[in-house]
Amino acid sequence: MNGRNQILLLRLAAPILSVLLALAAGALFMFVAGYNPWQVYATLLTFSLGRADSIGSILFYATPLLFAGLAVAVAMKAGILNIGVEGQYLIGAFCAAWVGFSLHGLPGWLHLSLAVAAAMAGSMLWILLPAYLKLYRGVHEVISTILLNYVAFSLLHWLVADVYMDRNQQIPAGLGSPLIRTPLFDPTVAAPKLHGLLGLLGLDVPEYIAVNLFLPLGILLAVGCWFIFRHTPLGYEIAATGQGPLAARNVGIAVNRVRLKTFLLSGAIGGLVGLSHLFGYYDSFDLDFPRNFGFAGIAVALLASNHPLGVIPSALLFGLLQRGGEGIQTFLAVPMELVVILQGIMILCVALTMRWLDRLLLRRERGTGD
Amino acid sequence: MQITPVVEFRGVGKRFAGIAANEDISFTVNKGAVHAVVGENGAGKTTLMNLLAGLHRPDAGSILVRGEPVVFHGPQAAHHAGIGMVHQHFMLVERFTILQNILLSCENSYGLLPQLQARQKLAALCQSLGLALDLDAPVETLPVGLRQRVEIVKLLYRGGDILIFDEPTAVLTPGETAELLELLRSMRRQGKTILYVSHKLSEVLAIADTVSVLRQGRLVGTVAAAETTQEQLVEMMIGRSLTPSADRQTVIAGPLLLELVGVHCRDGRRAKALQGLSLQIRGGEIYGVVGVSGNGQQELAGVVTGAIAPTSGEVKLAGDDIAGMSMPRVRSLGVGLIPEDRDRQGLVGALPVWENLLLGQLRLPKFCRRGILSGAACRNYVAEQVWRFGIRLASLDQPVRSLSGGNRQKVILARELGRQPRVLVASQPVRGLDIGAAEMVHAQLMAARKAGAAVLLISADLDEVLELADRVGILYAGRIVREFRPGELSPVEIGHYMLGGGQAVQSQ
Amino acid sequence: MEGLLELTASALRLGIPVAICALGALWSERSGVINIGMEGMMLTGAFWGAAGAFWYGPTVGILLAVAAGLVMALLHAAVTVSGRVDQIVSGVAINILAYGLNRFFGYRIFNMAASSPDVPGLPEISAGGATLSWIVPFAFGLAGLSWLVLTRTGLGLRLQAVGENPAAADAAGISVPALRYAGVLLGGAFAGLAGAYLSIEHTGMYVEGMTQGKGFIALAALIVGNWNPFGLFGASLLFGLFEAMSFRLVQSQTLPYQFVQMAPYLLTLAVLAGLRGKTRAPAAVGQNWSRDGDE
Repeated sequence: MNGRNQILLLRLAAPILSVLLALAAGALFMFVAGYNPWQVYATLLTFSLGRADSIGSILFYATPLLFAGLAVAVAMKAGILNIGVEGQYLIGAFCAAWVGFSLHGLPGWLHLSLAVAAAMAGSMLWILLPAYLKLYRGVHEVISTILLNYVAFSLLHWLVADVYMDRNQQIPAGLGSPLIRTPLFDPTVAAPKLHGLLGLLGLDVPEYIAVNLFLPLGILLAVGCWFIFRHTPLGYEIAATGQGPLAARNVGIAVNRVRLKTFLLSGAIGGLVGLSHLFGYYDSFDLDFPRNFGFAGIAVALLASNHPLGVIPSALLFGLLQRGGEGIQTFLAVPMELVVILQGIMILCVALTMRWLDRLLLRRERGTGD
Repeated sequence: MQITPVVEFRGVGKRFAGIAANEDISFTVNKGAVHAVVGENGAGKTTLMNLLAGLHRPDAGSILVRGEPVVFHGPQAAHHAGIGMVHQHFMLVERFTILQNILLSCENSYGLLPQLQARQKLAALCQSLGLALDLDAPVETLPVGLRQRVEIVKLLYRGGDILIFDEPTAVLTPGETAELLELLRSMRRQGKTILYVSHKLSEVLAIADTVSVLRQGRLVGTVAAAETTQEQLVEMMIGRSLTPSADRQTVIAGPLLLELVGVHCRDGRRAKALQGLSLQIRGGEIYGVVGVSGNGQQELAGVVTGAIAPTSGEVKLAGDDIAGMSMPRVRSLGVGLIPEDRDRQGLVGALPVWENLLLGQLRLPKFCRRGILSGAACRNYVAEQVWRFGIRLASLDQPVRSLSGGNRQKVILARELGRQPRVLVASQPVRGLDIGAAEMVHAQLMAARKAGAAVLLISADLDEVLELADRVGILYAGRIVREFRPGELSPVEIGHYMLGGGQAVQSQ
Repeated sequence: MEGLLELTASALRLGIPVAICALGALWSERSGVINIGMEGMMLTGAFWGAAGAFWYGPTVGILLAVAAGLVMALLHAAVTVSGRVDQIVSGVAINILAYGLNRFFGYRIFNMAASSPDVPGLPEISAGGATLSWIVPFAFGLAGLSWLVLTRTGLGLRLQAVGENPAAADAAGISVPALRYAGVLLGGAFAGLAGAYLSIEHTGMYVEGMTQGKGFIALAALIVGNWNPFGLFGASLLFGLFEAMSFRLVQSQTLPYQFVQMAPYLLTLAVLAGLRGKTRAPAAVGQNWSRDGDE
């Protein structure tokens, strides 16, 4: 096997190795905490892969992670750490929700498209401030995006609980007070489900699992991003800006403009993270809208080495883990938080393995120089 | 005086990633001698000295200090043995004062700093050597020559008596070099042993007692300085005699392509850098700029390429004022750059060779149609350039950082010259390259000159500039203070102007 | 006058956890290691502080919190200094781990993931009608001690050297990894202490997410204070003042309270934005280092 193929093999093996390493570390933790690792992992796997509703769940859980991972990965290519996906997707989801409950009587495809556009616009606006602060004021995007996440939470609380709170709602039987949510969406904005298509492929997914259009949309987006990085000048400029900004500047690449474009692209993708849940599962935007997709996205991107196509299997893996977490909680009474802990461990193990691989390859490269 | 060996290398070898940086090196250094180690860039001189200084351990053979074999587990252990090294790139903390930097190398001082004691001891030390140092000055405010002094005092303060100097004069003016050699002589008188690594043979012969020559990691031989000549040393260093420089072809100067008139600008720290600089370069001309580093060289390159916007003055490219234009714009008008730090400013190390060769050019119509790149067009062009410039590589996809220094520079040359620039700025183009690669780079600069480009050559190597340039400007305090043709001024006079001993002159 | 005293006390109460955390970040960053995981370490300290106080009283709680912070810091140091992983990635992972671990142990210890029962606090000091925790003057002492060690001892000098120019420090015989570990561990210990203060002294119980981003504000305070112990202390107390004033704004009902909640974060951003070019980070901060140069 020649050198190049060896390197390729190593690059593919590394994520697998790091997952195994993470599972081992997780097993150690479980053992110390008093659980039986084999039992836990076995349950996790059989629950996640052995049932038809699990496959559907995995696909559904993976969808937001796909967008989040893509948003983080794209930014990373330019050397930008977009930790603010968390806030961006919530703002984006709210903007989409606004379109969802404010417009009526539109054909479905138009309504959903407008909602998607609103999500991207809102999210891009939200990332504009950190972008400006980094590019023109030298404020590190990690601090600015994290602080803005907190601002987003407060802003959303005000928007949902005060401004757009649905005061005309029917109070559900048994509850004493109204739900804190926006008005209901017009049904035309609901995302088309995939059950028919999956049925054709032989997958019988129960109705209550909301796998929808956003999954193939996400996959298409991943392919689109890959195409940008592989076949367009912008993609190469982004890579150069991320890996060698000084050199990029000296060859006439407008480095700040490239970074801005990357911020906006990442922001736009980030805005879409929550839409699969919003228009697939929920009927309004409320304060219980799921959180933490942003941080999970970081884990997804890392495992994929920031490669747009790699984000797809990576998101599926994390979807699998999440589904498995439900299983171990139900059947073994192991807290679901174990999955979160596993996520954190996985980030570290992936990072360690990749770093180790980088050093290994660097040493080999030095050996082949003239 | 009795001759006692104080350091002995016996069959020393060191490998990095499978490549032998040093192989089977054996020679003896005598106490109180100045022992030079010479060789081309990449011959293994620095590696060998790093072994002695404790930064790495030999893979083969042994090192004896004062007759006893030693194994240093780190620089600290070498310090114990009285060995200290003045590195090519100074090991000083910029933000600290001189005193703080010296205290840093004190032993076992994790407790309260012994400031008073240190000041007294340093005062005595400086006096014995005839030096004057302001101990509370932050190192970052000091010029290069002074910083070197700080490094030397640091070693002596620690009680070093075997001192290693790695290319110490690379950044000094001729005057500062003379001062350094004088300092070395007085240290020799005090009984210190000095190892002097350099590729500047005239200095070596001026100061050394013995010379060891390395070539490609091996020892070629050790000779007494008094018994050898520069030509002999060169032959030992490269295994052949130096090809005589190609006759300069007379090139008829073309139109005025680059003109700077009264340019002022500031540096990264908002201090005044260029202060009314003027020069003119015609097509087909190489204009060399020499000066002590820190007098505006980087800023000069910056205003020509558009990296720095001048605060006043004109920068004209073939008559059009480009001052204040963005870098992409200036570049598109035909300005090329061979940057000073090729790995950080000229290449993206992790990216493949082909991407680096096409860096910044992918939007050109010949590579990109309607937003989509043509892989075939890219590869064909790159393959052609690789062949034309003789770049040695295993694959176009290998990361550019895995190429040797000379080949990396070739990639930059191929990229810049392939654009057929009207103005080429070349900053320290042969730094760190071996003689063969340096010859190639010079040939390419001459070719650019022949093709009608205006070449601005900025270099700290006086010999290089005198050999290549049609005209030379001496840069001092952000201005060209004297212009001359090679041969019109002696090195002493040049050094005089480099230190400000002349008057500012408007270029003719 | 009484209102002013109460405001000052309030500012102190709110700013002290930020200040302690920022001091920890100082030690870490001066040695060259960025620690985004301070938020997670502080939360971990808050949880274990409450747990320890619940079982054995406040003093044990504080010690346990510091120990927990040290453990998380050890992980961060091992991964970044020895494993040379990107420091920010490690910090993000630590935050995720902290969130998960706190919930996990919350279930196991208190049968609740998101909060603990009330816990006893340390005896208080009174000054002119306002009450303060012992930890407040202790924190001031820590700041002074930090300044002393950093600027007047060999340990401080060497640690700073490691954060400015690790190659030079290494050539001088200093162990770069050892000092970086020390810096990061100190950071974790301080973060744990800050968390313990929050849960034991300030609120009297542990609540999930109770730090509300103070760990990140601490990093901002570090920058605003220009990596100087007294500067960052002042910046932290200033932030405490922002927060204290924002509570009073809420009480006076001039703005919807959500905007008042946002104010401290936005103000922090505004201050950071205004600082361009005026502060100076340790030159090698954020960069991993190895003698072979492959970082």
